[in-house]
Amino acid sequence: MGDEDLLRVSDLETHFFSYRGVVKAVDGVFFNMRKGESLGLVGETGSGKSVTALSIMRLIPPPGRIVGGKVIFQGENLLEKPEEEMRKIRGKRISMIFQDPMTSLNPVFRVGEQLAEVFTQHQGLDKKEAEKKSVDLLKSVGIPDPDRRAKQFPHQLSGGMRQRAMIAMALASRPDLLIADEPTTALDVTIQAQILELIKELKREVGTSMLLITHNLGVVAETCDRIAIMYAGSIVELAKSVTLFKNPLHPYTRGLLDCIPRIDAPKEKLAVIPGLVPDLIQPPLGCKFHPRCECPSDRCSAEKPQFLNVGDDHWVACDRNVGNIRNP
Amino acid sequence: MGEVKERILGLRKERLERLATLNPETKLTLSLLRRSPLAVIGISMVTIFAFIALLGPYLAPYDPYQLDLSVRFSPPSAGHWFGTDGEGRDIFSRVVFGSRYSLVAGLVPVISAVILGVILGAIAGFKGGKIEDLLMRITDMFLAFPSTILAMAIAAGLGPSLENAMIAMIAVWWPSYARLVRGSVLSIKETEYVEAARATGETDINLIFRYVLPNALSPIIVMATLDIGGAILTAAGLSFIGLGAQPPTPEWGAMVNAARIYAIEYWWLPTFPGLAILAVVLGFNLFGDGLRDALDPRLRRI
Amino acid sequence: MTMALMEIASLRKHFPIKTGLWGEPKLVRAVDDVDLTIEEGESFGLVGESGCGKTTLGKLILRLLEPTAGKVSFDGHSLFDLGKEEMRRIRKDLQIVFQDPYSSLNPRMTVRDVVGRPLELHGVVDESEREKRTLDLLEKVGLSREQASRYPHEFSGGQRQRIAIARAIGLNPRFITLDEPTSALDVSVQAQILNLLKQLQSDLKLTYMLVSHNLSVVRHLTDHVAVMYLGKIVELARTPELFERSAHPYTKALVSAIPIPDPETRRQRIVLKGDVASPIDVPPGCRFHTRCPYTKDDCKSEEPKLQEFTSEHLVACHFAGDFYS
Repeated sequence: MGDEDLLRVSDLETHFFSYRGVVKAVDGVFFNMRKGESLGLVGETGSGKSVTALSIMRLIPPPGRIVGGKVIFQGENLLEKPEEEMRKIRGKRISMIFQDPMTSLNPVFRVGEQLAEVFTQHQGLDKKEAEKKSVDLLKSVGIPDPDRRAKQFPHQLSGGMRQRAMIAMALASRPDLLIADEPTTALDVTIQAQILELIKELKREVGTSMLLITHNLGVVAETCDRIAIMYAGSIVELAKSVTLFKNPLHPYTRGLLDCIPRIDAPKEKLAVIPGLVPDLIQPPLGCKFHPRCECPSDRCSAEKPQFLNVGDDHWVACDRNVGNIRNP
Repeated sequence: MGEVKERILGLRKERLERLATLNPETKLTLSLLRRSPLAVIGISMVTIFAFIALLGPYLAPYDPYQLDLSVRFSPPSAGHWFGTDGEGRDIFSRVVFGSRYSLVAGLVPVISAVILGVILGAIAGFKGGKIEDLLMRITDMFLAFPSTILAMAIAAGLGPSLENAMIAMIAVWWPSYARLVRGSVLSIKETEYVEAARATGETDINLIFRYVLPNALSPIIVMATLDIGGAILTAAGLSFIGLGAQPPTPEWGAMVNAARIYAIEYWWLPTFPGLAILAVVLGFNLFGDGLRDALDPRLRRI
Repeated sequence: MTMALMEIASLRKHFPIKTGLWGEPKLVRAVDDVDLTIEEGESFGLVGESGCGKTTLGKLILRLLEPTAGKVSFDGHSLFDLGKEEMRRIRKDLQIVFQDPYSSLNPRMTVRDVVGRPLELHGVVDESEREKRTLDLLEKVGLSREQASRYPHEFSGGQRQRIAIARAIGLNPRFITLDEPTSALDVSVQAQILNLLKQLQSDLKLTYMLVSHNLSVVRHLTDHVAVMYLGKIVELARTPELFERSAHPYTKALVSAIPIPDPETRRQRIVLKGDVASPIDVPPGCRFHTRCPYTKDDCKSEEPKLQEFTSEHLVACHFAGDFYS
């Protein structure tokens, strides 16, 4: 398993040093990704999913700092690289798209120009070639009338089109890893559907590995091979998509699945996870989820549970599932 | 029922305590202020100034009006720290007393301008329509004049005195606040909490005073703080050209004016009052800058 | 036949906008001739994407906006004909809960004041009575009495939404517009709030108008749903009927667009072409024809009327019968 991993994150810790105390946004995260697969990172507010992605890209702004762990990408530890080298990696080998395309596209430059920059900077093409490639790229992400659109400014495009343009920009350099942070959350439902279909199509054709961050379990069910559930800074469960939905082991995962209203299976009353997301400055001792758990044992409030493989690449951080460990 | 009455009494006490203990937002502002060295310096200078102004009579060794022609034009010495002026008056005592005039000249016009500007700006923003247009055009008219010239004209017209100088300053300053408040009111008017209040039938008066204005305060406070320094400077400036306080009033600007012709021979005459002006205005400016940075939501990141 | 609690007739709201110094003023046709009735005690959903006019409609029926044309009748009273004082009194029956819990509470007022002020405005002048009712309300929405002295920013999003709900129910209203009440909340918090809303509805005999783009939430909470597109209602039916046997292509596309948390679902998704249209440039004929995968000639010229299709199921489409599953 180890050598084929595109990305291996071990014990990643990212803290924010605020005036109120140290916010442990990412507190020991372990996961790996193989070439060509898409991994969904799911969590609610404060789970640390976006911070994890930014940590991989080494884009954590002060007062945040990556304080521990390793991020091994294609055999090299990104956390040890000088900024110079990281800049060469970003946008070329690892690309990222964000939730709000209005703020990630520069409003004073035309769309085509911004796209062409990727080609001139990272691939050394001349201006004319780069422009032509940009238009082709816009076409490939389904933007109608790409010649005209390339000459427009971001605000002249709709939300859906801007997001497509962003995806185009991210894929322009044929990165090995694409990180998408809530790419459809700000979009209308029918546009979201278009973008999801586009992502699935690109996945089939281009084969880029993708780390998809979202709070929406429906989105990851549709687009991801494996899913990791995050809570209060750590991954609590990681499994193949089908396995996670069929056999969720962590109480938080189960709680999440039970509390979502479903179109296909309406319920009278939604199951509820009692309590609130914990304070990341002074999280609960032991398992961070135990105050809200339906079935905590004494160990849960004392020891932090280990993240263990319970078989078939299904990992859980919950002591009560220790009994489920089988030989991998 | 008795339990509820007790609760209410406890509440009133609680409300007072709350005001004293401050909500977390104010705490954050204070802690940010504490951490900016320039703001701390500014606040210290302002505090010292206020201290001196309030305790003036007890700090000054001499009566600022007392003449003693035997010691006129004496340079700074042990007996007269800042020396004496052309009539033998102790400059140190006069500078100390002058701080009181500056304090008044700084606070009164600014507070008055704020009140006037806020009232007019709030009405304009809230009512909209023709009233807003009328008020804003009046505001524009005042803003069209260069402020110093306008102040000079009004002060000259009313007659030279510190009081008239203050009136002139109020007239020149209120439009900026009106504009600022109108802008804030316009944007706060559209917020959901104002809409929700309207949905419950809240009265217009209350909407202005409990919902809109309290939330529009921050930029006003910042502007006012920065303006106090400007007001002190303007008052001194008007006095300097003879339109404000008149001699023998120990107002700093007037003192510098009177000392002009002697400046080369007797350097201490204009220097100390001038330094006093510099120090106080600088203090308010640093304080105001620090306050603005502390209140700016984008800069307040953890 | 008993009168419906809320009767909306030919309601229209157009916003004029300027297009540059020399352009002719254009109209944003936010709500364009909408007819609707809501019965007392029911939970009515209004769904659609950006620009469909649902939020505007939700505010119009509370008279938070003045209409361009049309009539809204609440409990027999024609709302837009009421004077200021009468309107103020009726407001006690018509309340609203907004989407963003971070901007729907006055940051300078304590929870006690936020919840208590409406009571004061409507006759509860006695402070001790008000205090008692305020604390009871806080408990009813799941907050503790001790939190009454705190300020909104000391609470989480879900808790703030509870405060907003407490404010809304304080006056014992009969009708509440819920404008995207859980869209800004985490999924686990959303579940808590939705359960609370359901329970309050049955305890207090409330009538809800739920405005939302989140179809799963609407499915969960409503009895009837209306789908809006560019200012008009394109389909209206009982909730289960709308989701399982929709007759309008837009509704079908909306429902199929929702990602389902089940990787093994096999489903044909209808992907619409193009972007969400703008209420400034409304297409002629059927407004939806530019995105509809089944457009025929008639659709481009003739606007379909919202008509009864089957019992309690209205559709505005020339070919509704073809799509009825």
